Amino acid sequence: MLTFALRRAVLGLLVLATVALLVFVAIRFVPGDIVNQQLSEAGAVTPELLEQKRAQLGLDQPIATQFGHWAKGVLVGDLGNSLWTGRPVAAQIGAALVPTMQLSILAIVLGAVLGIGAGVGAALWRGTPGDMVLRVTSTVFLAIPQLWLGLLTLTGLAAIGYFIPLPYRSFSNAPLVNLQQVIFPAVTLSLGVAAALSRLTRSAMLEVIGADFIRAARARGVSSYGIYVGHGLKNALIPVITLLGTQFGHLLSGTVIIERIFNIPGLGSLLFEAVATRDYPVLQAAVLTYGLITIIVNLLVDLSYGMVDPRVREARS
Amino acid sequence: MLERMLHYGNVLGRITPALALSASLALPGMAVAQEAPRHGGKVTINVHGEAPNFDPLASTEFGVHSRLGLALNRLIEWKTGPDIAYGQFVPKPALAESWEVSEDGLKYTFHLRPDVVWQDIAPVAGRPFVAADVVATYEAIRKGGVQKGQLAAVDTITAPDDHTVVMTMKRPNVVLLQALAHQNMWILPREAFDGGYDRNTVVIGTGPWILTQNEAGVATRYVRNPKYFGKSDAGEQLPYLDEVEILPIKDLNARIMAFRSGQIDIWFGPLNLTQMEGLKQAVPDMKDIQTVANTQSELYLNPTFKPFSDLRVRQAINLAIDRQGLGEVVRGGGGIGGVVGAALVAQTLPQEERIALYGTPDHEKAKALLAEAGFADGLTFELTVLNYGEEFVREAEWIQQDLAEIGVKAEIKMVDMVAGQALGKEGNFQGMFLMMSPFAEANEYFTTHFLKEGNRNYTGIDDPKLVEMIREQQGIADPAARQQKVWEIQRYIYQNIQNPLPIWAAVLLHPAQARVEGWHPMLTQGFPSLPEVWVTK
Amino acid sequence: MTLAVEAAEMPRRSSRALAILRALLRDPVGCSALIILTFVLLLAVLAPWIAQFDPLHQDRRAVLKAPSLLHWFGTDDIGRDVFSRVLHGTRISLFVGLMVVTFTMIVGGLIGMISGYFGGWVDTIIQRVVEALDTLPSLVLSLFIAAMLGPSVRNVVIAVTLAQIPRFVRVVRSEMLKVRGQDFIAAAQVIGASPLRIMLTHGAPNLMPTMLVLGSLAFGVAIMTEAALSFLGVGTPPPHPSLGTMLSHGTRFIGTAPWLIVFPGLMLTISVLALNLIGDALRDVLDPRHQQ
Repeated sequence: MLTFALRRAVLGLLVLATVALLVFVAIRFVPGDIVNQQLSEAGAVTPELLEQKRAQLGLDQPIATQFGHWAKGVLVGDLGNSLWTGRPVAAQIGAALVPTMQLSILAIVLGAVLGIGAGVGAALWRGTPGDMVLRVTSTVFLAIPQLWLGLLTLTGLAAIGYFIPLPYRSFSNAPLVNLQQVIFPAVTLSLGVAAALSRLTRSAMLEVIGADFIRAARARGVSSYGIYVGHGLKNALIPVITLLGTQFGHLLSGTVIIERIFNIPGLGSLLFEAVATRDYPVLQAAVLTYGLITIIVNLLVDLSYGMVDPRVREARS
Repeated sequence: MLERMLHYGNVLGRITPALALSASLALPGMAVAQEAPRHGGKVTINVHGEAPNFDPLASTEFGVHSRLGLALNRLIEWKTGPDIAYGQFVPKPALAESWEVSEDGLKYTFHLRPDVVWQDIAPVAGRPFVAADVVATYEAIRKGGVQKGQLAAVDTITAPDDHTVVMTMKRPNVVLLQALAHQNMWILPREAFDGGYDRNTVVIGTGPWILTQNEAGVATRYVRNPKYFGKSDAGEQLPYLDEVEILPIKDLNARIMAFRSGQIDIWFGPLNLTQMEGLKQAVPDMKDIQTVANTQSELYLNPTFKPFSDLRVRQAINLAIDRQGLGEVVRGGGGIGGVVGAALVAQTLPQEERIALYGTPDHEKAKALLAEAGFADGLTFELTVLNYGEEFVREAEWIQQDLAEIGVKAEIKMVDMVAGQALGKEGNFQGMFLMMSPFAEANEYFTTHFLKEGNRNYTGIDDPKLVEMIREQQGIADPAARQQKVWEIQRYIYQNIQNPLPIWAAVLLHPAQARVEGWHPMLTQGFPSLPEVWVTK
Repeated sequence: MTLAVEAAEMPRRSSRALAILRALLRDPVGCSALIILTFVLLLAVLAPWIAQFDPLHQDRRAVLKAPSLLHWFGTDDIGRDVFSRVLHGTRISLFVGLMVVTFTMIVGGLIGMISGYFGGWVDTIIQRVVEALDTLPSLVLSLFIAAMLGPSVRNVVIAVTLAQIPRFVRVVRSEMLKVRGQDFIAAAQVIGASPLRIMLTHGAPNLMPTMLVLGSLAFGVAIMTEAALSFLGVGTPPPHPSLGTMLSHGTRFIGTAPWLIVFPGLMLTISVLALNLIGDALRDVLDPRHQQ
């Protein structure tokens, strides 16, 4: 099992190297560079000054040389310095990663609790109006774009006169402020996850309810709710974990938009700015970070299969 | 003058401005406080751009320079006050206490303030400020600073003693004082240039506040510099405020929320009138200061696209655009564009003349001009629009509809700012619509737009007569005579060049909370009036 | 022989499409989704005739008007009719969605089939590329591509398609692996049919149900992604009325003109909802395992 997971992780890293190369080359074909941006508002700029700045930043080198230089750095853990701030990229990525991960993890936990709860409820109350309401709600929330939901949340908050405190504070600095800032975007993000999970949980639960072993357990006099929930959830666990894995990718996509709407300085904002300013090292590092997160999440999903279901563990080793 | 347009429906009123206010004067609601200024307290300002680093030589970003302004000083500062218009340069002694100019205009002698010390941050650690610091800063700028162009006319910079700096000029240039007061011309300690510390991350100045913390995406925080040299007119120690906080809130909506809830005291950056009405409803006692922006939208027509090489076509396009309607509907006010932007009240052409030249659309005449040039059936071109935000794009859409009415079809192609600037430099466009840099002097407009090597000369304009006139105005020391020359140049450009077409300078709103007193927004970056700002309880 | 097989398949295929449609109509969810989708489609297709106003025309005397009998959804900040813009925006959304689904189905389907049919090193290379694309969250990938190419409808289609292809390839490949082992493929191979012919005549029809389900879901995702990209300023460029651009535009008037946000968002949600429901219903109809 472990070797399987490790092999996937190694493959993932190789894939990541390919992505890095593609991004590195592609971004350099986009018109304009950071020097244009830095000198955009200067009154009198001579072509020599532009060349001087480009040379300082190493942008006058052939792409292959630039890539070699960068790749060498990455291999020893040096992501280089931002062309824009001159500061180490790693520090910037680290700072941006914190709110993004906080948001994503909070959203996935909220989504899991809400979704699994709703799914179990819908299955137990199958066919009742409650089931219908839950099903309809989940279908609707799957269709609402997070973008719109975020904007509606803001509109609603403004209407009731509540204002999210600013500026952004990290949890370690000001936990109460931070929670107020993160909770609304996290809920916005979590609803989609919850909707997807509740549908899956419901159908997995229903599969179990008709099964022989449940009838057997009931015959032994075990209370039916306990059986349903216990066995049902166990049955639902593998698909739910798989879904959580894929949902994490969706969540990361969602954070790009949600961070923008709620003004959170996360990875999405960083990436967006890096594209806009042509800050190549930051952009490359941000893309790599997204890739790395995906690989880690996949790894975790793989590993958790093994923990949940011994059959998988055997089959794969 | 602040130009505010009457309601669009009032046809007569569109020619004459409804209200003419002195640019920095506040609208009703900004009552002059009778209370005496008090020390203490804190204000929060939003600056919607980050400071990527704190090296003033590395970029022209407003995010950097507006933050540096709180901690650093220039040799000469822009004076602010209730009687000084937003775009009016009145030199105010800052690190230089006084100065003299030689008869021939070729030698400037600056006497530095003797009592200034650097902020107590290693390695400069509170040592006295001396002439060597000024020389080191200017020499570094001349070597490779983004503001290099400001010192282009300077020949030598020397320090005969610790408190005197002498500059000799290659040629007379009357804008030198203003160049030294330019928003990017901060004076740093000489240790910033000899490897003593990293000016990217460490800010050591002589200014009113000490930068204590900068958290990217979160806030920049300052505390009062007890050793600041500035005094108020009444002789009180400045600054009044103990603390200042700058919040980098990028999203406009988040900024609006923050102001409404009192988290922002002084608003900096874009806001339109509709949004301000919303703010006013939520914060009825807020101060509502309005000025004309020091940036304007401009429409470049590239003569490499055949039809635009004909002056008549460019004139036709000028005549098609209803700028005053655009200004009122899209921007909710502001000033009609000019070769020199509307915010430079003493240098742009008088408002009536600008309205006559640029603000009186005539579609019949435009069509006749097109027909004369051989485009009776109209023409189609690609209009590259730089993405300067929603309202700017609305301006482009407005122009598109105006042009359609004279049979000129503009196909909008959106690009981001960086790509747009690159395309502009390569001359790789047919029409290009962009926002001009915030220039503070007519000379900056002229040299960037109309000299061959100019940074904003995207259409290869090289007119010998015009070059001659631009050089000439740089040497005219008499203000009135220079104004005449500056106007003459603008009229010449209207008649003979008509490229780029100036469009509109937006109204700039500067809401501030009621408790903020003594606040006078100023065109130059770095909040020059902030040392004199104080807050009521 | 192959001719005979094809001839025999022809009626089967068209009757199968009819059967799917009939089954969809019998399913209450599927039926209502079809009705909603037809309604949205009609609005989009007939937009030029339904909308009383040109979506680009600026009525400069009617700026930021609240919804009224004249302007059902109000007007925007330069006097354009929001109702007309929403209809035309839906048109663009659906167009982008349709293009994305078509290209994804053709390209993703073909690559998936090739990967599954041939196996070996072809499969390995394709899988690596697919994984590379799949490493990035889809919106991040689309954002990156769109920002690189510059905002235009064509580039949005490219950006969204590239982000959708991996999932298609993966599913189609695994279905193809199942089909490959079946007798009729072996029979076709024996009589010397070319791989392409086998894939198209035997593979594709068998994969159709899966492709349909995936396609309808991808359609919804494509519409949402287009809106997100436009919201971020790298999607459908002005002056075209894209729903995402309208939303981004409306954020500036969140407190003063909520109709600029409510209506485009509502239309977006309804379109995606209808497509998702059809996807669900199709899955129920086509895949017995999902029927409960």
